[in-house]
Amino acid sequence: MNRRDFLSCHVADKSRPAASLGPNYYSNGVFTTHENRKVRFYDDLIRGKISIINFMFASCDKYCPRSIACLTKLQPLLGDRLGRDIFMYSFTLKPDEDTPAKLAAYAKSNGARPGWLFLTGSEYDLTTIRFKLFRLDDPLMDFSVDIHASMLRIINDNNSRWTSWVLPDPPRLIREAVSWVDPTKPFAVRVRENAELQARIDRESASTAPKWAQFKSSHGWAERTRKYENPVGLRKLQTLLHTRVA
Amino acid sequence: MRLPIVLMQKRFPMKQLAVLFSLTLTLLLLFPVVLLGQVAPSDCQFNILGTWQASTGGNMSSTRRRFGSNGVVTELSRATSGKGSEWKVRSKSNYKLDDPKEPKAISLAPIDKSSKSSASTTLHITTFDDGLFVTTPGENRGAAPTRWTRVDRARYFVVLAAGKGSTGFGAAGFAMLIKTDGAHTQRRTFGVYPVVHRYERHAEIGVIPESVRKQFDHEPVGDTGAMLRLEVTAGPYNRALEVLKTWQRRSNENTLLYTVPYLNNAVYLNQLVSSLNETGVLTWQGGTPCTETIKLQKLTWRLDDPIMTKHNLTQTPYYLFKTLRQLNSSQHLDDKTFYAALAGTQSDAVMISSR
Repeated sequence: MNRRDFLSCHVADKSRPAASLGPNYYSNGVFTTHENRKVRFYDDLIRGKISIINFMFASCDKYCPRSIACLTKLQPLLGDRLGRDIFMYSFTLKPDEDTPAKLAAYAKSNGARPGWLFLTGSEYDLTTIRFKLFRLDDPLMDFSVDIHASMLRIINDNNSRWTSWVLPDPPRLIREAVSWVDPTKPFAVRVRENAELQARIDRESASTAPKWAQFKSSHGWAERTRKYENPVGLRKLQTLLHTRVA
Repeated sequence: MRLPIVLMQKRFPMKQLAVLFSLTLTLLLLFPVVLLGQVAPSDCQFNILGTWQASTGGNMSSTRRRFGSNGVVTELSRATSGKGSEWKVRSKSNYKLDDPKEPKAISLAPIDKSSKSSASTTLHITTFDDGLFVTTPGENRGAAPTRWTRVDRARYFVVLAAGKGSTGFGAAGFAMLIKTDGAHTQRRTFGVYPVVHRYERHAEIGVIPESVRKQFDHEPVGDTGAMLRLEVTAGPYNRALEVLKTWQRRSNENTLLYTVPYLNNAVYLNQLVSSLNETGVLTWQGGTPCTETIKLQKLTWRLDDPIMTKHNLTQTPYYLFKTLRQLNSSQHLDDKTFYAALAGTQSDAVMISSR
């Protein structure tokens, strides 16, 4: 055994990212896309990607239309990353009804761009991934379609970061949630970004401070604050503390 | 009458009206298809082809009827000769179901020796399964119903067994499906069983080991366990078998729905028990009713669920089977009847009356 093999022998499967939970966890069932293409769940949909996954069905008229509308609006916010490293997958809850052709029509009517797939498959495989990704450990909720039509799971397979979101919600918030699974940035970058953010907060505070002061004085808030500040009591307390410390 | 003329002349020319008319006609033709929810799934669809034996008020008919695909039903009677007994043709009739897949009535017209059929009698079908249908005479609805059972060489049993265990650690709780044709017996078990080592104990879900299964060879004494043994027809058996096989596959492929074995077992047993009366129980929306094989107590997981709200998860199988046994005590096969049936020594009459 050479030195390289010796040092890398703990990596069990080099074909997937080291941090990934792998096909044994996610399962690798076969699904059919709305483009009538056969795909494997882990190998083709999850491996090395950021996946945004939800469940729906074409005839759903309760939660799905609003949830799907959110995802439609999310697409432009993802920019050119959609279809490159971020992918959106909408799995059907009713495989016996939602054929690939029906899903294709549904995708078209909802303005799905490349990178957003609508998928169907066997009841077994769909149930498997539904429980792997959205299990709530309560059969009452786990077998409720209403709950599953409004859940969103975001997974980054490269670092095994998971997060979730409830639909419908403003797409910018979902975009924010997607960034949570991004890899941790280097320390220097984080320091710089924090400084920039703090500067922005300070600028906004400075610009709104006069308006805020005016608002408080017009509503009598300044007097009330002074009244409840109790400077005498505060001074007494400070004196007491100083005495104790001394 | 003015409106159509206006429509035809100005806003809706004849061509558009024709298109509209044909569209409406197409929708009307498609209407039954749209009502998919009312069409029973394939598992519940009736298939009359084969040999059936009738019994009225617990009395088994001495003849059997073989329904052929040519619309002719042949009545067979057992004839004893020197070589033994064999079934011989006694008479023939034409038969017709009002709806072959979901029948509500069957008409029978006897055929005489000159191949002419005489006046037909209609029987109303009140319930059906692939192994059983019940009829009442068309003209006299108050008459005792006749049960038609498919003559099948195989016999099917469902055994639900659980130990009581404790609130902290559950005993075994499983379902066993048995198919026997006298010569060969096929058993399949799946459920939760305890594994006890010297310093450690835990529950596992899977095929029940022989040593655990043998503990339930006889009915539990007192409240140490609960057991319900049923003889069923091929339909409910096959539906229950599908549930069992699916969960066995989940166990083998590490795709069980939950991480807690007791919770997996509770969901599995609930689905298996429901499948005796329903089809499609493995889908998220639950099953659709077929034929009532047993009086059912389902786990709903809601606040009104008498089992899940009052008892610990580890004891769910025990309380579920205990309730089912109370509800279906008349159908339960005791040790003697069960083992006699398995050995193939039981007469057909006992098989029918035990349902």
